[in-house]
Amino acid sequence: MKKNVKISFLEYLGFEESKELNDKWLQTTRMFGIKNSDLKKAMDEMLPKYWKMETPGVKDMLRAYMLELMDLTRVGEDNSEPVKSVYGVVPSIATSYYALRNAAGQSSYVGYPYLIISTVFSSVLFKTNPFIGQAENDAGISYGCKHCGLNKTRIGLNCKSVIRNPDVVWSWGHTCDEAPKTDEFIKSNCNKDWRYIVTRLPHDTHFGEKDDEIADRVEYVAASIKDGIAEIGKIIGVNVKEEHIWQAIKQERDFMEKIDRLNSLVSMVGKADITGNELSLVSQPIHIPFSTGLENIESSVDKMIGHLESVCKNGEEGEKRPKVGCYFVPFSVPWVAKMFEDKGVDLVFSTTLSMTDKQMEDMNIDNPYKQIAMDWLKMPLAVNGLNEADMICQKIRRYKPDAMVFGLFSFDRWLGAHQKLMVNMVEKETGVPHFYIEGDIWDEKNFNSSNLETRIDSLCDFLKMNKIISEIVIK
Amino acid sequence: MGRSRLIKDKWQIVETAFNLIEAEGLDNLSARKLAKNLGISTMTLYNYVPNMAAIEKEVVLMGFNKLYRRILGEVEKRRGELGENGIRSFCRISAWEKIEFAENYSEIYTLMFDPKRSGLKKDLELMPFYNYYNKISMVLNADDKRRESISKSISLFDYIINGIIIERSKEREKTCKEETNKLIDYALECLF
Repeated sequence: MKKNVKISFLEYLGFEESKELNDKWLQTTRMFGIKNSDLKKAMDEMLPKYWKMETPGVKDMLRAYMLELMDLTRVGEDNSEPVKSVYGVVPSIATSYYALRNAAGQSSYVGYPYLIISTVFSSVLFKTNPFIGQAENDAGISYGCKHCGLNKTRIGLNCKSVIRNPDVVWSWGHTCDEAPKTDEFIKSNCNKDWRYIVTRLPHDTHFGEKDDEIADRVEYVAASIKDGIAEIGKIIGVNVKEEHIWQAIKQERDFMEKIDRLNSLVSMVGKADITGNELSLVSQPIHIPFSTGLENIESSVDKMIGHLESVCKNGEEGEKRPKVGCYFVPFSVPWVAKMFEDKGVDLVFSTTLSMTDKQMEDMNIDNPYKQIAMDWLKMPLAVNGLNEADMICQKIRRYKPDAMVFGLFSFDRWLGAHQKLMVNMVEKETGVPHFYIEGDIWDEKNFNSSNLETRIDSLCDFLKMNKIISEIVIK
Repeated sequence: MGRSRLIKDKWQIVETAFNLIEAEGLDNLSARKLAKNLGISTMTLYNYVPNMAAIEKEVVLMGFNKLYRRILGEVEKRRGELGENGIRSFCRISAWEKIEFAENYSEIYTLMFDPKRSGLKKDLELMPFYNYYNKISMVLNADDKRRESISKSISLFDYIINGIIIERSKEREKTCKEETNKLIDYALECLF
């Protein structure tokens, strides 16, 4: 008998057979309009082309994302028994969300569905996330509005009632002002019952100040986080205790240590079979909550670390290929990294998803809210431009890339302009050549492959020339 | 009137513009002419590109891609010559590739280095290609002082080559290769 394509897809990703999982998956495909032809194309063509499916940890990583997507059936519109749900936004520090999850228990849904949906559509199914188009065509956020693809997805999904309204959205207006605006848009235009809480951090420190070293600022952020957690706890009927927060801080810290180790290993090996796309996908839980918890993704990270350690131990690193760090590796358009790879260059770490020494310092604060505030204020996305540039320089010195690529965020009023600011500052300070590419990592229709290929060709040619020049003996 | 055909790839626009500029000069490039050559209406053209300046930028990028690719190709082919006096050999190879590129694609070269289009030099995507020699100097295997001195010399040498290109372009009969070579050798001797 011919096997059901949907079930074959689960088998292909290495899921163990289970009726419960199959049912959940069938429900997920209905919910998001995933067709058999999408799955067949992904299995037969796209996944083996763009992911190294046999590399330890890769299938586990994809499974973690699929499980997270399937977990959305719990908040699906056709679920008759809704669970307590909190949706997050980016950029944020996921610790506070994990604290809520620790307190509310695993039966709650504390996650960021929009990034998961975007990631699965673009990186697993290789389709443009259809909810961006729905926001543009049906909800009035036209392309000219230049909204981030993730906020468009929020509008598309919730105005179309594909997933249920959460009990509350915790909207982190930390630096980016678009997320709270999007909540206002959904509430005023689509859904008057939309409930959200905004935790706001103004972008107002002096250029170059160390945001985490300003005592008043730490106090203010800690108080905002405490208020947010208390208000959300009240809405979903959960008492978030300090122990839940410490537990979340420890989980996040352990996870960050693993990601740091993985980034270091990838930068050490010659030809890494784990590169920027994998690194981005496994690192995302630093910034967004996974409703299924960190265990699944952590297990994939462990396998990747084990694999690379064994490669190093056995001296199988291979000849060193040029490595290029990014502000954000464009994992949502996996063919971009592949284009680099096919030209002999590997994209590696993302400056936003890797750590500085300061982030990994021992914790010596006895107030968990302050600890979260400090952790957040050490994240590059939360600080003033010069402070962030300094953090990026530290990462460049740590991972030693041959060049850096910034950009692919032209749509974003904040991060787009912000990256342009960084390029020359960081290049001057580190002496590592920097490049900038226009584009939109969330919305594939804004990419033109041949257009981008010329830019990538030029960059890769440049790196080849660099290698030749570096070998010239200077007298 | 027939329906405007669809363009499969935005790159078609850039390639057509590149060829049109080279054949007829930048002053003769218009949205109408470009659209006609592509077999589409002007309105359709603007569905793919915001304005003519964006097309010019892509053409310049394509020009740099061709220029530095041919330099790399020649340097790779003659890598053995980069032993002693490696920087001089590299500069000599680059110079001739640039001169030949400028002569093969004179209109594109003019667009790329047109002083009236100084905005292009400040464009972040194009900046690395305008600062190409500075950027590759960053990896020279020398101490900071020596690296800076070589970097300045390479940049100065590039200015000289641009001057030679302008002079050659003014002459009906191209200055013979031997004469240009003498100038290049003298510049290299003075600078390195």
